[in-house]
Amino acid sequence: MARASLMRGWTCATPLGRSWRGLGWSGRSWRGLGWIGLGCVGSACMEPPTEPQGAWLTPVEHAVRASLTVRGLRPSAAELTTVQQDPAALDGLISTWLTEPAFGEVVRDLHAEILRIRVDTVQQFPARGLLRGVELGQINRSTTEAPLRLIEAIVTEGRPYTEILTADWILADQTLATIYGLPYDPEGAQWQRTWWTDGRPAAGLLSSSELYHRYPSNGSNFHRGRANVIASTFLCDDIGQRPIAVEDTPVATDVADVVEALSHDPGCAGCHQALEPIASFLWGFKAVLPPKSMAAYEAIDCEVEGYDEQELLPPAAGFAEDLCYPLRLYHPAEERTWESLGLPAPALYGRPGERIDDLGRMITEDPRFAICTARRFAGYLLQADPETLDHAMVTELAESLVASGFDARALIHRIVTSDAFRAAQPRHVLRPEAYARSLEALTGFVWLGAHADGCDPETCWGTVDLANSDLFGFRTLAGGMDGIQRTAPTHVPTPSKHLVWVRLASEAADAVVDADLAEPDPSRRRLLRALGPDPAHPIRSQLVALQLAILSEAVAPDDVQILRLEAVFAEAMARHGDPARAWKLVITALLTDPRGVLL
Amino acid sequence: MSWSRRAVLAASASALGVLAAAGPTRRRRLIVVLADGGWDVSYVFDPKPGLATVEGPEVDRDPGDRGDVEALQTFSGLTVQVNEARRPAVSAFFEAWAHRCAVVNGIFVGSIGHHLARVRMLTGIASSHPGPDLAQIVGASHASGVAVGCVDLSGFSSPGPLAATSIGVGARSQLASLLDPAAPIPRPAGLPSERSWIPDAADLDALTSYHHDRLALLPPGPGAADLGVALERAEALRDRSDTLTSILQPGRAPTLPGQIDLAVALLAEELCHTVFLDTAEGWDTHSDTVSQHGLFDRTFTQLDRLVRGLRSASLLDDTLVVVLSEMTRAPVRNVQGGKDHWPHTSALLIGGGTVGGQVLGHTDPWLQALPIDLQTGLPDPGGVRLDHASFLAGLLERLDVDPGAWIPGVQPWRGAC
Repeated sequence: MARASLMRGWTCATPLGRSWRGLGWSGRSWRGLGWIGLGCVGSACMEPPTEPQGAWLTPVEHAVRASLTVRGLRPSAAELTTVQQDPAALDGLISTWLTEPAFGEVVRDLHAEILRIRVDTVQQFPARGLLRGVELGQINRSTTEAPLRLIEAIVTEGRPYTEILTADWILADQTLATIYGLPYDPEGAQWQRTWWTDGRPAAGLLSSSELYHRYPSNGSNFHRGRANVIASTFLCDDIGQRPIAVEDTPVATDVADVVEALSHDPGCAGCHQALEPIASFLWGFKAVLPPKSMAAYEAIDCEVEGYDEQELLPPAAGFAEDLCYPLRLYHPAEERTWESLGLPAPALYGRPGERIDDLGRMITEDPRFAICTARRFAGYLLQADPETLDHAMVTELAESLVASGFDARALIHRIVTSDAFRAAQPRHVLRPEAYARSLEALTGFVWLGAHADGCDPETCWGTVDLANSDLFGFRTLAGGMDGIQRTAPTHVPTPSKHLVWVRLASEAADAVVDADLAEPDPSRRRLLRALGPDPAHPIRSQLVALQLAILSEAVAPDDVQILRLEAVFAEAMARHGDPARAWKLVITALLTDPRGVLL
Repeated sequence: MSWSRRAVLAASASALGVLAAAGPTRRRRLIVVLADGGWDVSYVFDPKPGLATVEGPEVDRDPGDRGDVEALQTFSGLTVQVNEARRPAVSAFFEAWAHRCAVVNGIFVGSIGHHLARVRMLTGIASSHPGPDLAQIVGASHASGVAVGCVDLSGFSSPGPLAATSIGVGARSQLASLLDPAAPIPRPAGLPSERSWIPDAADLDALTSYHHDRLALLPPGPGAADLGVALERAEALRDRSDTLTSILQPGRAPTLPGQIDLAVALLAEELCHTVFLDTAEGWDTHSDTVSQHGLFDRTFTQLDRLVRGLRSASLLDDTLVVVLSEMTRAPVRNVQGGKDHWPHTSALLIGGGTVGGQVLGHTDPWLQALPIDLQTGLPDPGGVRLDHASFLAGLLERLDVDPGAWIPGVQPWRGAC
């Protein structure tokens, strides 16, 4: 479809689903911008601006948005100066940022969103048996982060992105290694390369127990839900979205009838002819790992004799002895169970295979893998619904991904240097992960909480990262997702986001001001480096320095913004006469400044 | 997603008048109660006794319990399936409230995946990326005079682009810790548990003033406008936080009784226009269909609490309660003795102008939706099958929201009103 015709259709009342079609990938007219983005609320957006001025971020603004997007950190003062002096230098700076450790964290964030795998609101593996004494929070972090660590390593080491589905290694920390009995050197690094020892084929994420732990299959579902997750996640083919022809939906009473209906009934075959063969790759995996049953078995050291197995072991859980650590989630002998049930042989959209390594390879060879990757990356980085992104833009990105040998960093670089990314509108909103990370970099404050005192050792979560937890923390309230109930982030400012920002910022300001004022050497302070010997004297140079550090804005000492901050300080001093308290309020104001949270 | 930006703007128009006095016309309030996981409608709403095609609750009957009897019973013209021994709260509820209730059977959802079906039943739209749902749309559309349009006590509600006007409470009521700056958050050992500075009211006012001044410096656009709304709503909530903080217990998930008490209080005090609740039960009974007895019994116990609470607060007449589940269970049991998913469902409407004592819509012997007259909700072989989109469009219409703006091209269902 021609881009020009798409843009001609643009009006403020254009259906939102079409708005991103007008998001100019290479054109630079106002009509090509994402002005009609997800959160247009005010009367100001009723009419598109007529002046091209302000259509694009300035190079410095672009640097700020890019830095916070790809590494969750603000640019340093030196980096801002570099960009100010030579806007073309931003391209190289971004390349540098994509080599930093903080970028790896963003890669994990991105894939946590794609896989919906950072879940802490459902029941965890029990802290019993070999895991006795390990905090539930640690078990949760180890299990949910392991697949993300694999992807991070592949991306940051410059390996082809296809390896996420073909790698013959995984990453595990000691807790994960204990859970699954993986080779692990206690003297080595926290996260180590290791491998599965239960005979499962090596297929990157498709070999990951955590993928199947996150997406269990009830016994009678025969792995179909998992198959749909795989097709949807990696090929953007959400088979479950296909319409069901209700008139033809049959009622089947036993497995044979169900299999027959799913294969031949028109009401079923539309989905199941694609779904069943993918599910047939997965029979080596156990259907579920029920934590309650695991806890029950650990309590008796898996000595099941004399116990009512039916009571302890729900259907589809597999074998009792597999439910004690180290867990056994995969049985090569079960791989061909599909055969005995009369289900279709493993295949991916008609291409036959045998085991999950075939599935991984075939997915990466499918042209939709590159397209889907481009769509998901662009959706994350542009803060847009991946389903509504312009197809031409996605295709162009996918082609570049393939041409680069599936270099994910190059894909990200291409997106964050695109016109779509540097369009001034819609504004991006800081993600909760980036907000906490950038705030930590500025103040040194990490927002940690703890499971309340007095909890049972077997149910204690221990230390909790409050910005990245839903069970105890504030992730969804700050716009994030819990992966179960909230399955997409909120890219709109909300009342709860603001409340989270104020709470976190005030705690960080409290900590950093106390620490800085206790440090006699200004050069060793984090934020109050320009402060003179009298902290009650709000020297403007300190306010200018704070404005630059926190908002990445270089302004003159007599700028109206500095005068406004000076007023905040003066009012606080008038109320309390406490300079430390006044500085805390000023820093809280800056850390929650609209210009800092809207990029 | 096919809802229009014009709809977002229209809904948000009321968002801009955040705390303006409510207009002379009282808009109907809304409470959505979600039974997440898929209830078995044959246990209560859509009985199929005597049919070999549907294994209903009679299959669970305990032969040794003479009181364990499944029966059809009509309450004020509304017929449902009851069992005094195993689901006594169902009978008690309809005994008291059938005249205010309508059951809607035969709603075709068109999906058997929980997430997708939930999105369809709550938004009327088929998408894996949910837009705003019923409670959010209605809340944002009628948000004048209240602190926020919608309060989500469940975690399941999806605000989409209307998020600036709504708020959730967190899995363990964390919102309470945000509304009260002095509320303690447990700290790990080794870290100081006390803060040396907690912003007081004057500090918070100073921050508010600063934020608004700074907001004015931003170039106009959707983000800035939304942020302005969000700031205003946050302040309004903080100013009127007593109700929330007195009921929410930080560290504890809101129970259904707690959600109900809070919902009634929030509406009574005009803190919000809509509330989204969930039953906090596991309805996805693949291997344990018999537990549907208890699920229905506990849920109807709490629905009775909700209706009594609304009546006590004089809210029942102008508050529509919609109780729904994203799908029902398959007509027959699987190899484990449970039931899998089925792409149809039922809903229960209570109060808020509902013409009570009715069962609308119908299904065939396999629990599949049959054609109805969309104007009356009554069976009509020449009519159309009621689907999630028409059902949601009809609810929007009766809640004074243009359904075409959110679910375009769909004929609204107009039964029960």
